[in-house]
Amino acid sequence: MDLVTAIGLMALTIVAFWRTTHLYFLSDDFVLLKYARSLHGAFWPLFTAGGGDGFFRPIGYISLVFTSAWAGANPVLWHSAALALHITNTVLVYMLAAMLGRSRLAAIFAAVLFAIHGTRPEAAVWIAGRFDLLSTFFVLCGLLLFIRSQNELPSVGYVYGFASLACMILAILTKESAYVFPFLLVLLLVSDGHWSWRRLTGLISFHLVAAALFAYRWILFGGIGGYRDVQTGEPQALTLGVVHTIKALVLRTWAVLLFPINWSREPNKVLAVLVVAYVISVVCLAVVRMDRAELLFALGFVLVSILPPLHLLLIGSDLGKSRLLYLPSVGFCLMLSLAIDGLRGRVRYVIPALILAFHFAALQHNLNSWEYASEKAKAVSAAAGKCAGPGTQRIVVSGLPGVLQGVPFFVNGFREAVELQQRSPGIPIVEAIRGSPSDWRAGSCVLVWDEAKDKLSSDKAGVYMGLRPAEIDGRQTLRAKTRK
Amino acid sequence: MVDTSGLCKAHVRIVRCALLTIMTVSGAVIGLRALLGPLTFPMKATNPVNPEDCFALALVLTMLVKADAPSITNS
Repeated sequence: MDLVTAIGLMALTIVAFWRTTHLYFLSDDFVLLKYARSLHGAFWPLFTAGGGDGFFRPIGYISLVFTSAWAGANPVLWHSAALALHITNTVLVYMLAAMLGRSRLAAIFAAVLFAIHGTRPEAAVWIAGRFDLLSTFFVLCGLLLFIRSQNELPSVGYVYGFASLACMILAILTKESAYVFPFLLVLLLVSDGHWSWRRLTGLISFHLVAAALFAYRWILFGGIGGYRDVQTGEPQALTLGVVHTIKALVLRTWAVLLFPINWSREPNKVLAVLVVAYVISVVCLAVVRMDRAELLFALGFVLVSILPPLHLLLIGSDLGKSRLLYLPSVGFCLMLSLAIDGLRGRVRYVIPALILAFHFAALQHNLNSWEYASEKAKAVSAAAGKCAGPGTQRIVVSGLPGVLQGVPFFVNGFREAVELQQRSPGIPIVEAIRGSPSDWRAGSCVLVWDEAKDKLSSDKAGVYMGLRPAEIDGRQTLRAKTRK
Repeated sequence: MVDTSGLCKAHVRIVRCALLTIMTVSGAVIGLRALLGPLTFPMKATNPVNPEDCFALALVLTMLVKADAPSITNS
């Protein structure tokens, strides 16, 4: 690993994501921020109890607490921390590709593609994507250490093996998607083709430790945990249909990895032209001869690593939940880099350049939606904060969307957003409701979301943003008189 | 995975041509959608999810067929 390549990768990633450091918090970010500040160094309960959300991620939460300690509620610092972690993962992808035998050009291509892939915003920009960033970091470190352990003498190899095992444990305690780690090791050894007693015993220890962690998680939750079906209350992970599974495994995952474009916003002309160039480039790559074992490892990497979140992977045209493809995309980048290694002549440089240009443009296109949603979230939080005057007892927001242009907006976190604006948990009741506000009590502050303008403003019934309690009472009287 | 060991070279070529045709057609639809905006003629394509699916699946299968090719030549 040379320093120049690492610096180059870092510089490129910073250029691609520079604008994101100035974005505000979104949706779950507010909840996580509050939670991280409330822990006050009490980490032990994180390891002995499952989260109320159905997830067991103690290491992920501890990382949020440490970030909160130095970043406070400053979004620039939070986004910078996420970006630093993403850059580190990019460098690790380069090292993995190089260790798997890719040429320098192909390894750089894999790392750059990983850095600027269009599905990155949800993982690298959203604070709630921290679990994916950190878990992938530990998985990549674990894979690199495992490969190293296989290439060293047994006395030194065991040290690397134990370090790899430690990384696996940390990855699993960061996010449950890392349970696939032992299976990735199987893929690695199968593609390598050299079996030995030492390798087999090493693999068994990884499987046993992962199984023990899974059993512990099962005891904590009294089941598999995770999201639950709203209607039946059953864990979503256990309600997978055959059609859903096939569609996610065979179609949507690959489609989103290949075309990470948020279609809820129209692409500009530059991106449109690059789409055409990209399609031609990928068709050219498809006919390149590749090593079967290496191709199967890359394909297997994607397929194995999408298994834990499979029930969430019917990703639509707005790329919602695309953060779940952060780890699987490593396999995708390795797959395309393998094809790049098969190119000869001038196209060896032209095709990778066109592919990367497309992904850079797609990323910038997708980031526009994040920038837009971020501005709106800031405006909503500010309006709600302003609305909460000294006499306000209740804030009601009507029609606030959970997702805006495919970006998590206020699925959760409205109350926490208001508290953050106020710098204190001062308002007793904060409600986000679906329909028109009907309950007009004195001391209430009513805000209505205008879908046409994507902002809080007046509605047809004459409800205005930021009305003080006295004004609301006055308006109530006026409306009553008008009805009479 | 596509096991082509039992197929003759001509069959593999036909499969590969079919997959490349699918890639070309679905790629053209995606390109046109990006260039011209939402399409209504000759087909409706607002969010080109289905062409993306077809293109992606055809790409993976083509790569697998191609990666299998050396063993057929040898046999």
